[in-house]
Amino acid sequence: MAKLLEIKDLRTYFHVDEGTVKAVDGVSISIDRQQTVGIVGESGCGKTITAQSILQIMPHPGRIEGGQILYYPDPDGEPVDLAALSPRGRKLRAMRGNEIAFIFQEPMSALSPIHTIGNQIMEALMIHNDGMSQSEARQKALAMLESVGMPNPEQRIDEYTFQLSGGMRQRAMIAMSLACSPKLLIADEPTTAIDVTLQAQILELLKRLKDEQGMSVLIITHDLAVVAEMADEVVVMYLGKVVERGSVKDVYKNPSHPYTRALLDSIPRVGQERRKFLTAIKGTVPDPYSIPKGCEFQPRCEHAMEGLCEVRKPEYAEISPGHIARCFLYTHNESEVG
Amino acid sequence: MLGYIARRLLQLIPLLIMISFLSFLIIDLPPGDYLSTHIVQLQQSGGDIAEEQIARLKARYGLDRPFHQRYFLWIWRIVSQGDFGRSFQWNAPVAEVMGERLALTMVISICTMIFVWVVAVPIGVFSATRQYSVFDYVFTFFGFLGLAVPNFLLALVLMYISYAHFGVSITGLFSQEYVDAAWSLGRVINMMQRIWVPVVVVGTAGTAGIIRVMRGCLLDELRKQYVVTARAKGLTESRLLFKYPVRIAINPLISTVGWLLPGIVSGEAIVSIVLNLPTTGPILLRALQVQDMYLAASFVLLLSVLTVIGTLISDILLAYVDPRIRYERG
Repeated sequence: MAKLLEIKDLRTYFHVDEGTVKAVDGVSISIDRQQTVGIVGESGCGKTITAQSILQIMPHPGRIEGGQILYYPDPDGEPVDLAALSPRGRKLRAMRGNEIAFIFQEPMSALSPIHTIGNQIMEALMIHNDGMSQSEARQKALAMLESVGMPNPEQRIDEYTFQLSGGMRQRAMIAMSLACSPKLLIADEPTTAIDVTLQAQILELLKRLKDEQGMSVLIITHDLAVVAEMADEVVVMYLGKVVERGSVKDVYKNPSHPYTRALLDSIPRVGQERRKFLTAIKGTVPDPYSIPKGCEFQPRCEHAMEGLCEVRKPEYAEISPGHIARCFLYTHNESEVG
Repeated sequence: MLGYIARRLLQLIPLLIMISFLSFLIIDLPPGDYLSTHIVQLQQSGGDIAEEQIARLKARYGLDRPFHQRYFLWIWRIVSQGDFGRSFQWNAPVAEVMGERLALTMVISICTMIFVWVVAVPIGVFSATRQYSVFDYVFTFFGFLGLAVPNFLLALVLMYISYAHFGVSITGLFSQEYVDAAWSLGRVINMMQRIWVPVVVVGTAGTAGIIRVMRGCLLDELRKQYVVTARAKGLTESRLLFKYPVRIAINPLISTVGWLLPGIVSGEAIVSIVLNLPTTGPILLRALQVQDMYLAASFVLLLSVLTVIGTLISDILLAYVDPRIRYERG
């Protein structure tokens, strides 16, 4: 399938008084048209900053220091390098919300508390459609609310976020993001802040809208079940780096990086032997100012090889076609260890 | 919204009754009254005063009656005839003494508020969006300077500079020929030429304060998630700024608009004395010093009523701009 977005060796750094935080350090991800890609990882692994870097909306003082973000507006046309555009410029603004849209984690704080949801959806429409009238925008907004399954849209359109339930807020957020029919939807933890019973509904809704609108989805989550449910491809991130990448089937059947295995082992399974304890990943994520010299995961890794993993950075190894892992287990030969 | 306003207005009634009683009580608490001070002064200067004359004066001002009767008589006259009683010291109705001064004080206060907002809000917004820039540091410095320098000192310095370097005396609101003249276009122009001095002097501290409040609130709001959402939609930075974070960050300022009203009456007494302004501040001070009780009580009453009304206006404005408050209780 034709490519829609290709992130190549992206580096987004935060220069602060304490030092430099390499939140995203050489990440490469590619998303095909109508494909769903999931990024998983613990808090602070850089998955959100990776996504925000695409539209350059990461918090101050984050800056893209290197790499390319190639966006293909037409399947056969020339790509645009979004990383090279000015974050305040007109070209990037024309992309935001129009070609690439965002859904945020907490709809309560991500929507303005003092504007009606209708106002905010109509604004999204009117920014990118010159000359669209108020009444046209309102009609479109109502249609959007209808399509995301908002109950009683005629009444809800004039309500504020604090008058809506959690599920309705997230539906309003989705309606706003999809108002301009974007080609790529980035969903940052879209179900984390929602009731478990509603999570499945929201995921179903996202799947349906994806098929209806023929868009691609980049879903960011710490929940492996969400990725299994939604995604075609999965990218596992740890400390600003991609540690494993491949199709959902390959990665879940044959998790190759010790971190991915540990993540999968930490989920309870139905039918699992009762007496067996869940395995937690030992240790904690190192603080961002003292990244290990060798492999980032080495201090927590069960398979760490002395004299190798703490000294050198591992390379990517191909496990099977399209399935790669960044680990010495697959690249070193015994003679190197010493 | 209408229900909210009606409910707030109803709540005012018992509050105002309490306030009027308390203000009268406070004025009545100190021992002695204006008349006894007056008699002592007369006797000291060798004058003799007949018993019956004292009794007549007491009866005229109602000082021979018990406290509660005096209170109800005072309130009744205010409510029924708008008569606030007589000022002993000025030997004139209280309303007459306060009249023009109150109007002039209002003009100065409102001009000051407009000045403060027009200067402070844009600077606050600019400081917040360019946090830690040279601009931000410069205005933070001047802001603290403005907060720390007492207003009357600033008034004195301005007067000195104006007199020593330009030979212009900037005290008072009117120049010599207009002080006692009737209102005319010339008098208004004359006032406008001089009003900027008290406005700047009184406004400096307010400006500094509001810059800090605006900057702080906006910095908080700028970090909120909805700002990122608006940016992700493709809004330009300036439209985004004024539609979302500024609208929310300005709420604390709106809630202080009401404080302006009581400030009008007590307003900057020291500055008024230094600059010799015909405002209400100096009279209030003097009335309290000589126990001119009806004048003082009327001032205290007016101050309290204006505080209450001012707070109400703030609350209504706030409910108007912020739906979270409007819908809070039905």
